[in-house]
Amino acid sequence: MTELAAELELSLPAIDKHLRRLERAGIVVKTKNGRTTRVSLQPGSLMALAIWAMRTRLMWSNTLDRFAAHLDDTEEGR
Amino acid sequence: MTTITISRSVHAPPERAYQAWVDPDRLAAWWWPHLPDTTYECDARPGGTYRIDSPTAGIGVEGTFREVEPPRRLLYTWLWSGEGEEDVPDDLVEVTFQPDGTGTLVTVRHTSVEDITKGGAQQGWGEVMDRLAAIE
Repeated sequence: MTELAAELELSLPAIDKHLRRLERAGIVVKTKNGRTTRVSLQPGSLMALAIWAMRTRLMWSNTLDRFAAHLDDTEEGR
Repeated sequence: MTTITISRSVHAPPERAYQAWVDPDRLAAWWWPHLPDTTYECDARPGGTYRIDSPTAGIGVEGTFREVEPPRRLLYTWLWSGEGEEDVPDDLVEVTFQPDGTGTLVTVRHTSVEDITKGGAQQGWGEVMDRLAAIE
């Protein structure tokens, strides 16, 4: 955690606050070993987010394609 | 909270693009034309509701208009049919129609209010529990 704080130029309490949120969301896992705390990324934890974003984007992309094509057709017919 | 943003330029002025988006008869021509049994209801007024439903495909979407500013902007809630009973907060969809030369730039911002990553965490824990249960 000390290394993270140094790398990101943030105070330890600030790092702790961010990490606690990430930990609650299941994105990182903290393991204590004596005086040092190791933070690891939880594999696959962002998968649900990525899948939602991909699915939603694809749905709107197809929808807007149909919308644009429809307006092309009706605009030509005027 | 997670948002995706997507834009398209269309060859029609904002007024026509807006009408095609909110008029149920116009909507039927482009929303799900590949699902001919789809029904369209759309009352684009603040507090008005919409509902698009295809019984054969088993999909549908519904919501309530929050903000209606013809022909520039719409803000409405978004709920896929069948998700209501799980007590999930509705998504929010904002559509803007900006003049763009002789046409319109249509931008959709779709926001999920739900903390999607939680689902991932639950899934993660589910797998851990399954592995624990497998230990005798």
